[in-house]
Amino acid sequence: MRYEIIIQWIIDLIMFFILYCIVAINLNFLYGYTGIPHFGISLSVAGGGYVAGALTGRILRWIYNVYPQLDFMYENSKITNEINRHLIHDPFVGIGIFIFIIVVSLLLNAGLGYIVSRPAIRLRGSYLIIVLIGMAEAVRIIGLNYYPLVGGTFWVHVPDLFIWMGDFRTVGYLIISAFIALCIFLLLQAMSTSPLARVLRAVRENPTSAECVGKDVIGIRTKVIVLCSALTSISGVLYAFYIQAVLATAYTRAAWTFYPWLMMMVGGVGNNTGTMIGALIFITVRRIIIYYKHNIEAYVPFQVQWLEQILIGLALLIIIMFHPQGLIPEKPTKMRGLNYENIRKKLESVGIKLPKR
Amino acid sequence: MVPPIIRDALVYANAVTLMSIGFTLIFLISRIPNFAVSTFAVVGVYCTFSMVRLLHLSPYIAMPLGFIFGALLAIVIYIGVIDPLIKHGAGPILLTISLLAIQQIFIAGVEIYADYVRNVLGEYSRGFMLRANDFHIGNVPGVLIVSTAVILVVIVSMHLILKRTQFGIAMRATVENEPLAAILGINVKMVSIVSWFITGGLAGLAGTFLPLWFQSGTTSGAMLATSVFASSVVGGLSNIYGAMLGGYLISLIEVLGSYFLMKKIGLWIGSYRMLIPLTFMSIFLMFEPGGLSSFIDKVITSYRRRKIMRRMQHEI
Repeated sequence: MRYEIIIQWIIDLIMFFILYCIVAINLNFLYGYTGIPHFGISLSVAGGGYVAGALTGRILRWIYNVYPQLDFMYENSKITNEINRHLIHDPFVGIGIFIFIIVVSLLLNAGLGYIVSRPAIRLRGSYLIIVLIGMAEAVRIIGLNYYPLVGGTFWVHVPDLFIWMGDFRTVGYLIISAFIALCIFLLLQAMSTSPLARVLRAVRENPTSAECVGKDVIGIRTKVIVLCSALTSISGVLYAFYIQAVLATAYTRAAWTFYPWLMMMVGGVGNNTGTMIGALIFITVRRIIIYYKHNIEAYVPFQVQWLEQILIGLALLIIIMFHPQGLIPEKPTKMRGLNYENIRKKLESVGIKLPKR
Repeated sequence: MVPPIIRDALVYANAVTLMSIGFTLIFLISRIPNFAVSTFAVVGVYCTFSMVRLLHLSPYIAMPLGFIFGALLAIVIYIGVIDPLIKHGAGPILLTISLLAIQQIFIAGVEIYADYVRNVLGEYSRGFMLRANDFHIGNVPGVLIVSTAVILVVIVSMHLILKRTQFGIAMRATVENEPLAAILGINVKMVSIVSWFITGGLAGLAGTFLPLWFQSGTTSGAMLATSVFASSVVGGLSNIYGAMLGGYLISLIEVLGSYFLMKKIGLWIGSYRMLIPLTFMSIFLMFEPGGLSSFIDKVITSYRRRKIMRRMQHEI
């Protein structure tokens, strides 16, 4: 029994690490490389969750023609159970729908990212922060109040697309999620070591001079927001299929904006490895706190989650005040397409001598 | 005499305006969006709650208390976190994250207080409304009269402080150019401390009014926050008069607009009320990124220019 709990604890840890890793490295790409203070990153996660919650069940009900006379939201668990019974024998439909939902979520959230970036992308940092926080709040309010989307303040069950894996399901899903997260990581890593990253850093450090050399600063910022909104939404989709439900109340500012920011700050801004280490540390600490929470609960006259919130806030403040560059500070990365040796030789051939490093 | 919806709108507008004056003031002095402003309001809310429910006193005794608690909290935040961070050379982003962290901490603190009151003192401490403890003159509730009086006093005194006193001039100089003001001998740190004090105090004061008219609890701050951000941004974040105008404009649009829409379209639209200020802000920003104050500036400048042109034509 004890053994099983530990296994479950580790699986939970890895899964949440994967989910938060996706959000945090996207955030790092947004803020660390491009300098967009995206304080509304939770809206993309929520967007992904809403797509998974609202579409998966409805499409599968249409495919299998399950209880067409019932209301989808009110008889949700009944319909989902029936769909799951069909899915046991249908691995291809499961995988197909999974891929379809991810593609739809990418497209819809790219659009959402474009819309939310519009009002303030031209304005300076603080305005952008306020508008993005407001937008994240707006998406959350819509999810909480528009009942047909994901069941408002209740929740909606999501059919288990990997139920055909049987006992292997949890681990199998973990492997699939890890693979997707790895793809996202490799994509962003490739982009951040390519010549493109130089443009992004130029936009971050000095937008005016970037504009002077002919770079479309607003366009680049918009593209980065659109790309990262789309990629971040995958985290929401994976989360929804992991817990097999979508709760609109789960996408709070604390959980999906503040914590990823904290991970990025802990690990080091402007470098993906650091961000991942930050995410790992944060998730481990948080999982341990959650695991031992009930032991403390008996001794204090309030809920322990507030204590947890205070501790996390204090930890962030201490990091910001005493170690603002994070565990691994940003380094000048070697870029593909830029051969320092060649540049040095060329300069030396025309008579300019460079100091040796 | 006064229709209920107008009372709603005015009480709400008074609270939002008090907070957005503070929000704009901090933005002017320290260049950071102070998200902790809603936390100060929650402190005010619980001051009134404690006065009425725990000590069985008049809710208006909580007003000075709310002001003092909010102001002290703001000063603690400034001296404890913001000032050291600025000394270390932190930019607006780091300061914003630290303010979010502070907000998390203080909200958790208030939640612990609410839990304590409920579990130990046995008083229901979330989602309360204290309208019954207010006084009435005719059918006008006391909170409307008092909050309107308070906001008039605040606006007049802010105007007098900024325009007539030496400290106000120092404050305006700091806003315009901080290093230059410091060179001229202005104590910039003192100016910052006072502006944080005023912000915290005003937000705490705004919080003390809320439970007398609206259902309040630990989440009241978050509910007000979007309106406060929207009104400050619409006001222009460039002077406190803009914040006053923006505060009234946004909250009247929010309350009256949602009332009108609920009447015309259906009651369900009431739950999307928080989207109204955000939508208005987004549309407004696209057309007038400088906010109301720059809009008014433009109107005045063009009027003056036209007047001068006319006079010149006349003279020629």
